[in-house]
Amino acid sequence: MTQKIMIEQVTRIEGHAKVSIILNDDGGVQDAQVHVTQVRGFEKFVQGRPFYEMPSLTARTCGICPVSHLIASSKACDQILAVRVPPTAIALRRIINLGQIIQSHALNFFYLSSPDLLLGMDGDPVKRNMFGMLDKHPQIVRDGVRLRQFGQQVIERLANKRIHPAWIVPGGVASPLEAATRDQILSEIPEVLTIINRTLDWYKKSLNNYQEYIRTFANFPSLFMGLVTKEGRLEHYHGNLRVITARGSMLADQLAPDEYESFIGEAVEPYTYLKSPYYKPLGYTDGMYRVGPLARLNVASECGTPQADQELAEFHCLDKGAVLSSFHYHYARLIEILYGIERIQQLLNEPDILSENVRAHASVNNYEGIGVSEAPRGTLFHHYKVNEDGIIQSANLIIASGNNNLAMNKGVLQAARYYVHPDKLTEGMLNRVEAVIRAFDPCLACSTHADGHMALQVELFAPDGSLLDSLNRE
Amino acid sequence: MKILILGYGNTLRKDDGLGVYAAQTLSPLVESSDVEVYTCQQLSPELSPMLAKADHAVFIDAATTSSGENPGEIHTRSLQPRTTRPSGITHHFDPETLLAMAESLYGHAPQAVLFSVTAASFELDEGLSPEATAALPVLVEQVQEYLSALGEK
Repeated sequence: MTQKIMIEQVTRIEGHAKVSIILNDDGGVQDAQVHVTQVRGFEKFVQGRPFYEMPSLTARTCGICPVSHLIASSKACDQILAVRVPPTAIALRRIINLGQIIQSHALNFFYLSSPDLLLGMDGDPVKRNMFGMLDKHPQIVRDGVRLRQFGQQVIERLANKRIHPAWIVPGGVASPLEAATRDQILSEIPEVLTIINRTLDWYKKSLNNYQEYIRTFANFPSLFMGLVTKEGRLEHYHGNLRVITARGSMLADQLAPDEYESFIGEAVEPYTYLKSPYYKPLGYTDGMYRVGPLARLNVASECGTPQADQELAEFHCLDKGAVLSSFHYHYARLIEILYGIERIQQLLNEPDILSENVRAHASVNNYEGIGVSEAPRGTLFHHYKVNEDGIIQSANLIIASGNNNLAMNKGVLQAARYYVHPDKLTEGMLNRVEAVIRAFDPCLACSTHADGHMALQVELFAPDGSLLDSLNRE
Repeated sequence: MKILILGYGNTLRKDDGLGVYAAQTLSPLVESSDVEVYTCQQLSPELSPMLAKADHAVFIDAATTSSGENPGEIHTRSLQPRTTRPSGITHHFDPETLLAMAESLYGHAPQAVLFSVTAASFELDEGLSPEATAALPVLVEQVQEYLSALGEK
């Protein structure tokens, strides 16, 4: 008789999800599914709106990474205008995108995931959170607060608003950078570099404590995809897509993001509102790929900043081919924070960074625009079609978290098979399943373009479909 | 004496934005460089370092209606750092928790007060209800009086 375990309300993630664990007649785990239970329909209701509203409209899909949507959306609109965005505007967009990545990675690592790492997967769930760390690990909490604050302040100082700023616009940015703002951010770089280096030192030394999780948290072969420069360096704004195999060999390189429909398919599964993108040449589901910090570091040959390059070289030694364990998303986030800080410093020191030429103006010159960038959680696609008046006729958004859907489901199945023993179901067991999802850092409200809050529900079902057990947390 | 005024709320949810509007109204009226006015959509841990540097903190927020209260009513209460820890970080981070974080992480929590106004509507819309609109100037005056009294201490 098949049985099913449900984790209702996955906690410490962005959005709402539940997990079903289906048991076979022998009591073993037969299958596991992550259900994303919300839908919002952004692609539908933006139809009929003027294209220049799209950055502000689509940024509302998310309160964590609105800047990422502003970037991808504005890039799509740049194509509709058919303008050459001034180089200073591109540099400023890069800076704010990196500020976004720093604050989002700090949120996941320090606020959401480090309680599992420092207080234990079996710790009291009431205390297994950021507040539970105040007494035993105040320095780590302070470091997390400061890094997230730095990323948010980069956004706020450039765009005058931490959440949903309207500064990134089609054709460039709304206003130039002031010297005082540049100097203020630059003056804080040494402090935040010290913090992230201290965190990396601690984390690398503690990796041995997590060997079991490294082995069991979504550790399997898959493709990896991310933007790279022409030289194969880490890239978050422009560039082309690179796809590598689990062995680390190149499957495709310098794929034009504008042609994404030729190599990315979007499958629909009946149990979730989240689509399942896949690499078309290998078919569904062999074309399963991962995106985000782990994938970006796997596909990049180097970062292009001195300290992050040293860390990347060490990171690449974790596995013979690509680094396969999704537990290493945490490590990759820390390296990307380091890279982000160094790269912001480089960009702020560029000679033309204070130029007042930051926006190109035009009307509709193309009826189609595709904007692709790297958001904190992975590659983000915005694709619009407009009529001659610039009114949106259709929109397609492939969100970073959605790209990871197939891998996240497979990872949950792997963890469930290893940790879930239905005869003695425990909270700690289910927390490990949740922690796999947390490692991917999915933003589910974003990826389904959905409304609501996020929490996790786990349910255990018998082979006949009857509910045996359930765990529900807000 | 450093004073931090924190007006918070969502200006797209009608009266929920009252704290932000009040802080924005107060900002040009405050002459002392020792008073900082800050607005945000919601309270978050990153505000705790800022709080730890203040001697006094003034929180301004909208409140849901409880029994016997009318929309537009203004309430004031002093705040203490929360002694019981919440179970996690949610979208509902309260001032007492923030004070506790400041005290725990940075060794100091300011004396704090909360000015709240009972809201008439949290619907999706910009602007304030008639009740909250009427309360806004009264609220601003009360905060100014509170600041004056602090200056006389």
